[in-house]
Amino acid sequence: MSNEEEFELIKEFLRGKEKAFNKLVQIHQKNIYWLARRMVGNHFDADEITQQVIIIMYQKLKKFKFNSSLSTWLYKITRTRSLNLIKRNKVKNFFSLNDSSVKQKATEDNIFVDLENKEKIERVQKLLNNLPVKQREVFLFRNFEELNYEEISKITGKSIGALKANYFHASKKILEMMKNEN
Amino acid sequence: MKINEDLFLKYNSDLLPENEKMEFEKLLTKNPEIDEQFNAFKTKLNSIKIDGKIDERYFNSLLPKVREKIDNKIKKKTVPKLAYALPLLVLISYLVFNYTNNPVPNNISKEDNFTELYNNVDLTNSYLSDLFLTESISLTEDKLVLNLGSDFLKDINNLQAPEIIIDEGAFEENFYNNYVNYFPEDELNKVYTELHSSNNL
Repeated sequence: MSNEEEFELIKEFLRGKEKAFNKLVQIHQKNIYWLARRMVGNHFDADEITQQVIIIMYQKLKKFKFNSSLSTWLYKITRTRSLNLIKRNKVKNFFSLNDSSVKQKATEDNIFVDLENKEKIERVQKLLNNLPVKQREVFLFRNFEELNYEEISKITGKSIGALKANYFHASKKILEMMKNEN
Repeated sequence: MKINEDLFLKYNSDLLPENEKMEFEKLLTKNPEIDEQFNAFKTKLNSIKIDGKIDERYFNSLLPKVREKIDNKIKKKTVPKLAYALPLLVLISYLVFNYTNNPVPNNISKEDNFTELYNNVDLTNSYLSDLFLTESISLTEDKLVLNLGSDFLKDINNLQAPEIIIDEGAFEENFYNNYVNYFPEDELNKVYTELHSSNNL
């Protein structure tokens, strides 16, 4: 769907058509989920973030400036939410406040289409989890979402030079980890 | 010819200066072996990019779940607003009702004050009974008139709205003028005698 068509849907929603919002969610929910999932590393947290982002989308769409695409705006929100959750989880793990891993694992097992697919996703996630967050996000935006540095810079607020350096290190680490797997 | 992987990584990350980048691209076009190595490098890096598939039912259930949360949030926002508004409304209603039933008098003279007060005094009221029992005098209406002391004045002042201030001197003057004239002289004498005897004067 082109930006113009999406902008039209946003305007329809702002005029009160709830169906337009549903359509926007259907278009973007998978991208939001997969970005969150690869950032945080599990379905349980990704689900929470996806829901949060859709709620924010519902509440703040009236503030959307039609300068950038809706996906850029949503990526920005998803990234911020994911980083916040990663920080929160680090603190939780440090103090071992709650062990919800069993519950998370059970939820996660139920959503895979098949075992092969599950193994593939888990393998990639393991590699991504070993990257520092700064490198992980740029790697995800460039490799998975196929965004250019300008777009990534708009989302992350980082300089293009820093993004390039982070992407270089992320790619190098991923290749090394893949060699070690074999 | 084996190319250092870092060169591929730098080129792929767009970290090469413009002249080195052009040189590398020339090398790729001229040397198929290097081009093959570079393609292998890209394939390997892209192999991580798998098309993850999860149960579609999850995505189908997402929107209804979020809708429910949005509705709950809207309800939650409305309830605190009502929580403030309702007591405020009750308070305003109480004040308005109270004011319309007991308007604060504005232009009442001190004489009028007392007359109104006196007319409103219920002698059977336990408060007054208590008040006068402290004086150890059995009460009748006539005795009350003569025994209204400074304590009673203070209490009347306390009972009234802050605007109504009874000046003790003026009160006594008006009180005696009004009520001494009101009672027949023989009754007054009778009361005086009774008082005199009760106090052993």
